[in-house]
Amino acid sequence: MTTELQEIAILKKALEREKKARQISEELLESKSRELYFAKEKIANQYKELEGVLEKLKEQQTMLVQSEKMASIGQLSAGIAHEINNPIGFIKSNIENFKEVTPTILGLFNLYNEFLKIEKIDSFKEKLDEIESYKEKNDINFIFEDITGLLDETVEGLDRVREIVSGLNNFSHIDEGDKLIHANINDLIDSTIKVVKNEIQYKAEIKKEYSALPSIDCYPGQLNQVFMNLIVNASQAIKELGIIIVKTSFEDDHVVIRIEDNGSGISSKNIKKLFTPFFTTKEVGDGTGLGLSISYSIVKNKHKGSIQIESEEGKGSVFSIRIPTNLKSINGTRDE
Amino acid sequence: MKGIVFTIFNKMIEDNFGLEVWDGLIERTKPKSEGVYTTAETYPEAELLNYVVALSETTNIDAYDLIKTFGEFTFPILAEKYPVFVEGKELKEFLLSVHDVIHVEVLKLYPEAQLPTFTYEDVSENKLVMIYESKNDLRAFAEGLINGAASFFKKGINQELQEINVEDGFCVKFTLLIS
Repeated sequence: MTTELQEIAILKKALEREKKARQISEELLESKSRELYFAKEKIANQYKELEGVLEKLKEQQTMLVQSEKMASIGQLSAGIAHEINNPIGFIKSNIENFKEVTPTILGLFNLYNEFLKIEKIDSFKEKLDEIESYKEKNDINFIFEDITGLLDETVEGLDRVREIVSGLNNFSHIDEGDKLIHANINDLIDSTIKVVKNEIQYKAEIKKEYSALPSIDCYPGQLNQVFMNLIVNASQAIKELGIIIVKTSFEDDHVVIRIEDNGSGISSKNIKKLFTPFFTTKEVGDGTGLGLSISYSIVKNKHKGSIQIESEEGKGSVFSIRIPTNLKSINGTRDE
Repeated sequence: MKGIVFTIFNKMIEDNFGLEVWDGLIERTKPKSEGVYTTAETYPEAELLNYVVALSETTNIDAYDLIKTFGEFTFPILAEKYPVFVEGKELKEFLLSVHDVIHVEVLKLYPEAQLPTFTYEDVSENKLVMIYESKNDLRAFAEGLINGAASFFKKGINQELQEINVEDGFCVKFTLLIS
């Protein structure tokens, strides 16, 4: 009997211990659940914060790309100013010439007016002689020939200015809403060459070897920047009059652009660092060191393409850019 | 020491000696926990050692052997509870994973757990040297766990233990011959 009671007492104690253990476990579970809840909340907040940071970084990157673009234009500005000043100069001189001869032309006009008002037939001959002598005295035929030339030249000069300004506009323009635009790469390169022509014309001749290309979805303003960086870099690698060959082709659903120069080439040591931000071999103030790293990012990240370099010191370099024609389907339906 | 060790010890005593002996051990050693253990909590190691000493006195079994037996008893329970660590493995492969895999996982679950460290010398296919280092001398428990592992993986094992003198804690070289 005693043993049975003892057994019951032991079992009771064991049961008590089990109950207590269960209570402790439950409390522990609750406290862990709370911890988990707060941890989850904290992670959600951190995620939100990180999203904000990412957004900011994206904005800053866009700004960086834009400011690099402006810096490149800054470096080209002296050349561009010259390019604009030149036609403006001769346009001004043409217009001044025109202004100078205007009274003479008006004089002739007045004589003809007087001629038209003559009522007596006898005076016709007299007036005509006067007109002829006026024309001869003032070299009217030469003035007329000259004016035609001046006006042609003026229109041509204004066209040049307009081209440069529209080229600059294409460059400084931030792609609207960063949207994909259907464009032809040959046209983009042409507009780039217009802007950089003056910078490089005394260094190198640009030879265009274009193939017929399909229009592709791309970010034109950004590609202009890439082409400008590569063409200006090519010209800077050339010490004396050299050649820059810009070749385009269409291969395996990609538009391929080759920019080849016969300049100084790049050492294998520097090739590795070429796309590193802030790496530059140029003098302080001559380059930001961002051009190629941004070009790389524009081609690789924005256009899902690639840039390859072949270079030999003393012989020159070839930059090959490949851009897929189906960027929209690579990106899905979103406009990145 | 983590509560899981105590709950397994509790089970071993109840399975082998009965509830009365377990109750008696609590009565005699009067642990601060009052013998109430949950797996996730941490309890003083002294409580386990006091049980072992008391049990040794009661049963006349050497304390070292008791702890070793406890290790042997513990292994299959842990293997059943955490099968991912033993599945698809051979004995030696398992032993080699104790320090870099299992202990790492244990610490993820119980960050405050105090674990021994093992360094290995993979001598040959059937011979493995494990250097055990710990603040507490639980080599008997390790020896028992290794025996338990050998039985679990259906292998024979011969263990030779050699103490290495160190300034802090304990260091033991386990030379294992697997058959």
